[in-house]
Amino acid sequence: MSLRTVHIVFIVFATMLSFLLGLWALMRGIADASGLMIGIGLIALISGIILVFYGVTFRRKIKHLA
Amino acid sequence: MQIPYEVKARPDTGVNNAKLGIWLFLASEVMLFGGLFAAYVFLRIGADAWPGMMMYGEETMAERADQILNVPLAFVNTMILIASSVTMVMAWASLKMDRFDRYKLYMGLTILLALGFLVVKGFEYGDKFDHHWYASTNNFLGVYFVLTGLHAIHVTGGILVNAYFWGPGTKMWKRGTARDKAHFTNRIEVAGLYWHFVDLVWIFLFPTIYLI
Repeated sequence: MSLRTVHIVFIVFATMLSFLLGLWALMRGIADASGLMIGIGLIALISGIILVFYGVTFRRKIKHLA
Repeated sequence: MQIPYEVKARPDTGVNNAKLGIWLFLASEVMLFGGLFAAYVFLRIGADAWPGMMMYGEETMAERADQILNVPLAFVNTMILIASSVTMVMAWASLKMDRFDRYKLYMGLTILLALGFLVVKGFEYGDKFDHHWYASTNNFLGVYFVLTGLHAIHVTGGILVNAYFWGPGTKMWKRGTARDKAHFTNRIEVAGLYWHFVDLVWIFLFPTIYLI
């Protein structure tokens, strides 16, 4: 398995973590009325969306570097 | 018997020797971390309360890990490691495109991000020590310090390897022959595989210890 493939696998797991953490932090922030946790939740969800776009772009652009 | 030093994939294994070596090493690392994760699962299943009793001014019952651990700092560290995996793969891609200046930039950024991870981890540990919370305090903190400490050692190892390839190790590339350049690029790919493994361990470690 090449670094290219491993990186795509890593980005998939990082994306899943971002969405998981985003939901967890939002729920915790709402339950505890914590602005910090709500902020972390929103940043994590946005990071997840950015990672999806990054992963797709990386896969398309890196094809010729096998 | 001499092991041939080349970057072509061997017909019997399907990969070159360096890649076979790093995958065997990473398999042993999976067993190391896997054993510790298994220990964590069994300790947690057998515990009456998790994290359990903690001294926080006075002795109080901690019902959730995030009451003890600093999730915002761990979140920052997660972002740092994700960014470092991106810069690591960019360093490798730069060599593939024969852009050595870009390689130096991205590899330098990878090293700085990894150092940043350790600094943040240092603040996190410092906070625990200020509360007199150590690995010997209870099973929860034992698991926390062993797993995150072992991971931090692996990050340190990655920094040392990457720093070598950023500095003295670049002599191989600078010799300028196509063979040397191919060998150096292969070395960076192998270092990148190790770095991604270290980052992936954190991706599993973070939710397991801090969130669940």
